[in-house]
Amino acid sequence: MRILLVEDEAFLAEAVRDHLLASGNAVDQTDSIVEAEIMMRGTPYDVLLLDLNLPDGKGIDLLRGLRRNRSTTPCIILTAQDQISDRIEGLNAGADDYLVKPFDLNELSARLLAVARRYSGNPNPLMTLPGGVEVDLGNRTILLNGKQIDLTSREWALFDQMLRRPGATLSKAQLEEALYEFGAEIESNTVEVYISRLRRKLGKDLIKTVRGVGYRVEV
Amino acid sequence: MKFATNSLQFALARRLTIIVTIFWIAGSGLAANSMYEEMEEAADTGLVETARQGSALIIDYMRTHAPDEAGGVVVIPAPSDGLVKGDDDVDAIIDIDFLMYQLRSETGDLLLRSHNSVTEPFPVPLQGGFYQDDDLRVYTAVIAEHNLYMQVAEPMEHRDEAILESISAQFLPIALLIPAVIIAIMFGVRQGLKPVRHVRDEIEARSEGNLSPIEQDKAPDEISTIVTAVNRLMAKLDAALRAERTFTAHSAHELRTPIAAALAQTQRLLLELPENHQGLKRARQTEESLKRLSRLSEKLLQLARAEAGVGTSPTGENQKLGTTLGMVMDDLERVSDGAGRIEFDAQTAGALRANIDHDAFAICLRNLIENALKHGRQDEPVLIEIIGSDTIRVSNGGDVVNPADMADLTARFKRSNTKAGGAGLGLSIVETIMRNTGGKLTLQSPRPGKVDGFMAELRLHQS
Repeated sequence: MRILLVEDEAFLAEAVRDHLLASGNAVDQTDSIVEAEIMMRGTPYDVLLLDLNLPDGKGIDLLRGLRRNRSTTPCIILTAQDQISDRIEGLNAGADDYLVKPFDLNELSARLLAVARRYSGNPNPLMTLPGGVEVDLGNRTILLNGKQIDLTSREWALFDQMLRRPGATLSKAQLEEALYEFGAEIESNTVEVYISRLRRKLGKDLIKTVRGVGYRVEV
Repeated sequence: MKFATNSLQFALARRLTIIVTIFWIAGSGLAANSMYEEMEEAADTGLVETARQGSALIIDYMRTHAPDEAGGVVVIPAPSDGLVKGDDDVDAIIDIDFLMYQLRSETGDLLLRSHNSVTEPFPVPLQGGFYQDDDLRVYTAVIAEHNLYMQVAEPMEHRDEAILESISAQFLPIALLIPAVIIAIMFGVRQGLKPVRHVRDEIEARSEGNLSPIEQDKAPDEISTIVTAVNRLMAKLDAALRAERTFTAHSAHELRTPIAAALAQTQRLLLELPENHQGLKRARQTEESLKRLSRLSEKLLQLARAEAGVGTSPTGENQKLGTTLGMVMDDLERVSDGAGRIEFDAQTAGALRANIDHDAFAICLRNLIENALKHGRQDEPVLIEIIGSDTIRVSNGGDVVNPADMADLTARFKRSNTKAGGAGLGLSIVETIMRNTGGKLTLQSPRPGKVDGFMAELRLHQS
């Protein structure tokens, strides 16, 4: 997933960012509402992680602005404000979930996946794919004919991007978006390299190439 | 109309009634005295008029009639004997035949008497003017032309009866009116104190959730100053409470954020260190300490909020609590302790409503459920029951709490004798909030209908 993290506490932002990167996500981070608005205009993020108290304003105002502009990007609020009234205000403003600091990084990952699944239209974390492939999105495990397959974080990120829209063809650019942080260099054949690795691990027929368009996971 | 005996209304009504009654009785006494004197004067005037104006006729009657009694006494018959044609109806009502008269010679001999007069001469001296003894009031008119004395007498019994009847006639209505006056005074006092009661009710309706100024226009001058002072105090209290709550909210933010950063960094460290690294143990201990610090700071912030008076609904009215209940359940279901262990019928949540702030209610509920999850038997569910619209009960399995320890459960920093961790603040926080809101926390072990376990019940205040 490509995630925008809006958090002004540097140590917390760094730890969250590293955790999400290690989990195979692409993460951009900013501590400013203005910057976040600019970044969201230019990049289709899968999830927005939003702190409420930021140096240049309230995160809730950014969220309200997004929803006013019909943005459907899922949003999880990360905040130290734990009162029910704050939470109701956040959810009413369009947040999908609300996580009170301090939180467990694993809980953050679980909530991220739950929100992403909800938006993919497939809330069931267990998927059975052709070729004897079974995926547990919740626990991030893959079995091939009953045997566990280990994926690197980037392999997982690419595969997860395709699984969230099973059967749909994703362009190479869409897959690149899921892989890299904002502003990072992208090699021209990176997607092909990771598709090739996934086919080697999960079977050559699971991921189809649609010539001139992109790739899709068979369902 | 009902007065509390220690009320201002009662005191005013009692004093006014006593004062009015005393003045009324005194006024009536003065009026009775005045009436007595006037009636005496009128009766005396009647005696004088009868003596002076009737003497000529009586002398004439005496000369034209033969004596009726031995000694040459002429007796004037009663009107009913035919001398005067009376009015029977009037005679029946008014005793017009009460005056007695005698005509006496200068030597005191009785020459003529009325039929109702005693046969002996009146025992009074032969001189003009009034004379009175215990039985009679007599007026003597001197008829100088004939050297005769015309004496007209009225029995004292008759005069006293007339005066007594008149005074009684004046006092009877007053005696009957006194209860009516008391009721009127009580009603008047009650009406008069209406603005005071209004101010009292307004002050009573104020709470930490409602510190709006009391309307001053309706307050009478006497208590306007009190209203001003109360409004000033409430404004100060409101500012103080707001400052305290803002401070608590800011403290929460300032405290939680660095703990969150430290915990996240530690968790990353745990994930990044090689499996056999010697620093892993210390990193795990740091993570555990940070989690404990997080829980403790959480409880201390909740306690600070409870102490700051958080509690009643901001509107002062009952509000629905179903959404809050659902959010707390959702949160606790996600933590490892609560997953799959909480039994709750969500259908009943909609009925719950009370005069309590959402956050205060969430704090209470979270603490009770966390306690039940922590101290309850792990293989038994924690049961959440909604009873009616104002009661929520949290019960769990587990050992029976020693009755001697039950009273200490709500003491601060008092941990139970279980191995489960905790700050020992949860039930104290709940009890403080219940006290703030007028609700009630009841603890029971064993739980109702079972031989073991523990039950905590919140009875929420209804507005």
